[in-house]
Amino acid sequence: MSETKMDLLLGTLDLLVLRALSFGPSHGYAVARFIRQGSGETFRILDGALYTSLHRLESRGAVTSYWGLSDRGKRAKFYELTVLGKKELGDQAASWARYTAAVGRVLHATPQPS
Amino acid sequence: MSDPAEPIWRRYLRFFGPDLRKDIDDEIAFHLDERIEDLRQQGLDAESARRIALEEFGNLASVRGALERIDRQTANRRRRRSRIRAVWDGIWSDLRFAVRSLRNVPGLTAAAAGSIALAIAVNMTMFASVDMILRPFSVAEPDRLVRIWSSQLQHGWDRVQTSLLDFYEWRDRLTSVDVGASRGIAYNWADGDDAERIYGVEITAGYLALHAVPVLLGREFDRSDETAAVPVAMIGERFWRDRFGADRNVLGRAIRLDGQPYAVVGVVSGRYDLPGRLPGDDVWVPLALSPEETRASRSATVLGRLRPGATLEMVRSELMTLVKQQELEYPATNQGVGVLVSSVWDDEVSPEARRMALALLVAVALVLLIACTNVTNLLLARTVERHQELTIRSALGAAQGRIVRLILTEGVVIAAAGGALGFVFAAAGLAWLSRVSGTNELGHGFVFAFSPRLVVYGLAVTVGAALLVGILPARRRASHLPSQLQVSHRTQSAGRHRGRLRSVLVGSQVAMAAVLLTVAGLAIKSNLRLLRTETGVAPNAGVTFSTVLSTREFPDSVRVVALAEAIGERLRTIPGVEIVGIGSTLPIRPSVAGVYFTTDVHPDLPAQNRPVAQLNAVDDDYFRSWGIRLVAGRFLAPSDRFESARVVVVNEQLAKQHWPSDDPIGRKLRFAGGDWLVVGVAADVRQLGIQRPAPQAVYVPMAQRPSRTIHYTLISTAPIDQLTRQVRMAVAAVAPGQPIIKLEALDAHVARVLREPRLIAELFGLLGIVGVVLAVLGVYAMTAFMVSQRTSEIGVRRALGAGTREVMIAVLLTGAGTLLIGGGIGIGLALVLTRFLATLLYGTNPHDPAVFLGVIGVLSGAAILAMLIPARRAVRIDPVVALRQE
Repeated sequence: MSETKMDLLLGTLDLLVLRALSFGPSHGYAVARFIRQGSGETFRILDGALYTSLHRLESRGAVTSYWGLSDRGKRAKFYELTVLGKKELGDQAASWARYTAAVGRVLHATPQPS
Repeated sequence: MSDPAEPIWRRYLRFFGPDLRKDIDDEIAFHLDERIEDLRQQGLDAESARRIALEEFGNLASVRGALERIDRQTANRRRRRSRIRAVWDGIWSDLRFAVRSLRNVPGLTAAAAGSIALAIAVNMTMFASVDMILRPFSVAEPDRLVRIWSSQLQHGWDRVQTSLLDFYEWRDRLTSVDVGASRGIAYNWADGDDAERIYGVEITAGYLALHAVPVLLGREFDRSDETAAVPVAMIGERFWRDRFGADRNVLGRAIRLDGQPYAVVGVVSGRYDLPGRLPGDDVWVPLALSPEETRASRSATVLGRLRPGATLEMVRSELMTLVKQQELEYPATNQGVGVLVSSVWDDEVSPEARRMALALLVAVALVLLIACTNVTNLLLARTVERHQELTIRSALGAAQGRIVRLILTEGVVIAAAGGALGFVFAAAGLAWLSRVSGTNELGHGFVFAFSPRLVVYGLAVTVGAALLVGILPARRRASHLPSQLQVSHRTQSAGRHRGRLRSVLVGSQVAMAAVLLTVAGLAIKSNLRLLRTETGVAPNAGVTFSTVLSTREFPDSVRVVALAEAIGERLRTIPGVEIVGIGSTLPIRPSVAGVYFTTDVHPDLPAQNRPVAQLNAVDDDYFRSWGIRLVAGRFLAPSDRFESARVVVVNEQLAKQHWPSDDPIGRKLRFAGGDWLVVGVAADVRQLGIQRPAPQAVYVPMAQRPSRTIHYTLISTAPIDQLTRQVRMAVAAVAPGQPIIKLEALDAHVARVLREPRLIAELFGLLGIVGVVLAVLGVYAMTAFMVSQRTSEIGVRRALGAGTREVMIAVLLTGAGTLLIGGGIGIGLALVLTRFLATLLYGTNPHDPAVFLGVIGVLSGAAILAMLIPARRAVRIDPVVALRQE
């Protein structure tokens, strides 16, 4: 995988994780499940990468974490968006929409006589 | 982490800091368990579910390593941030604690902050005036400005102005310096009925740019203007606003100067600072060679700016070569003409001014030290009073560092409050300074304001004060141990050591006050003496003004005299006017008119050895209008006309110099191409300023040697406003369009001359008062504190039958030793230090006994007063109450 693709993928992963957390605090496995189901199994994302994304987001203050109990009563680490994280989600979602729209326009365009 | 769902046992673990690795393992384990559970619910067996979950996760070890790295970074960042916050919280709580505990002692806090405020305000005010003394003009790189003079050493003249023809050659050939020349000029400006005498400068091309004088509109002169057929001029900003309403279309318009039109090519900003004195800045015209000018006419002042990398020495050697060449080329005019190059900076700031500035700064530094000592002493006294509290605190485990910090913080709070208040006081000080320093010769007021330099200085002094006042008490406190906790107040002996330190502080305070007061006293005495100096004039109520008759309008002397006298006659008809004096100069204003003369004792003295006399052309009423005394012979008389024999009145100085033992009346002087018969001797007038002795002077009849500048002096008790109006009407009636210059009350003229010594006396007076007030506060605080500490002892004495007198004397005596030693050291120091002031003092011995006795008297009186109040309180101590306090 080339360097640029990797970057793109990383950024995209952060965006997906932020989106997963936007419905409220949840633990890492819930985030993984949300992405797996939401994508219709389109992405093949290693779960480990998900956790590095979560911890990186925590490190730069986009999310905070605390230990709590899962639905099944097990001890789990929960993540929650911070104000900063909410803002980052909005910004990244918007620029992603612009990006895909532009790519889409190009793909559907036909050459114009000059 | 405060989630209630968190198991309790985990919280205890947190005491040892979060266990990063364990948390990561737990998190991954949870994930895998959940995934396996989900997969099994989908029907997979345990073994394959586990395999799939691990596959989906990726490389377990490397993920774990990555997470650990990220978390460690996060944790470190958090720890750093919280450490900074802890420090800040500590400072903040110290500050709050200090403010709260100082609020319990409002009197002490007010006294301490007030002392600091006063000292800082005085420091800033003095700094502003010293700054003004040491930086009289503020052009860019003032140290690169040089002044170039011609010299004719065979006449004893080391600084004469330069001939324009010489200057042109210098300008073209010098490589180390850019030079410009200027010459003062005055015109009668007229616009319809409006007329005014305006003053300005003739300048060479590029002069303004050379000295960074901004041009508001248009352009400054170039070389072609110096020789242009059509005269051009620039006008000054103030003139432009006053007379042209700041009209931007003024460029190209013509203004009439001495009746001749000049095209306006530019407007010069009023915001500039040129070294030396300009006669005025209303009009600027190109400095051009006039037809009658020769190489021998030396009238231009040359000012240069060193080119990058050049030094004064390079300019000197270059000019020496040039001047030698000129001497060879033009022997007739340049024989013996040399050159003198000086740094403007060194010229403008005289050694006296520097020493005066230094004396002022030392004096204010003393004020600051006295104030800081006050605060230190108050804080020390406080630590003694709070001895119990502080000792208990440290016994209870408060770290020594924390207690030291508390005391330091109190000092900082006091200094900060004092500093803030000090800036407010300083604003008042600057306003006062601006008011008392009046205006300069151009009529611009001196403005003292908060400059960036001044603000930085004020802040630095405040910080310095904060450190000074906090450190000593804090260091003292640091040596305290909980073991010193004692039960009884009376048996407390730990305070003795500190008591001695406080005495030393008060003693040094008194010493500093003595030095300060002595310096102030000497300066005041010297300046008061200056103020009382026989200036030689005794002006009455009245006004003075001058006018100048231009060559263009009044080409010959006869018409000048006729008009001058006609105006004088008209002025005499103003009701209430008793005397009208006419003269070419005003007393006590430095005047440039001088003549070389010989006396009948040595009539054939060679030119280079001839003495100079200040020349005044006056009428017979001039002496009476200024109250100049007649010493011998007669004053000039109306009968001394142009046609009659030439007569002269000399001053005492001249008479003493040349005919020390003979009667000067009837002797002869030779100057201005003729012999003059001495008919009278007038008392000396301090023409060069009151610090300088009177120069030799001659008074000749206006009719016999007319002057185009004429000063009128009217003696009248009529109100100034009314007189001013009548003077304007009278002059307009005789000579319409003739400008009236500097019409002002006689005492205003004298007051301006006396301004500087008065200001210095007032500054030192202020310093002395502040110093004494602060020292008295210190003595008072020390005595009051001592009385409060010894309440029980005094109570016991009273109970044992000690009378009012004994108690008072006991109290006064405890402080007396300290004060005597401090005062003695102070006086001793003053005796040594004031020797450095000797050159600054006018007619005052630096060891002037009256001043020293006065200082001793004032200090003892003040100290006794300061001790009396607490002593009286001691007398009122009720033994029963005092003992019950135990």
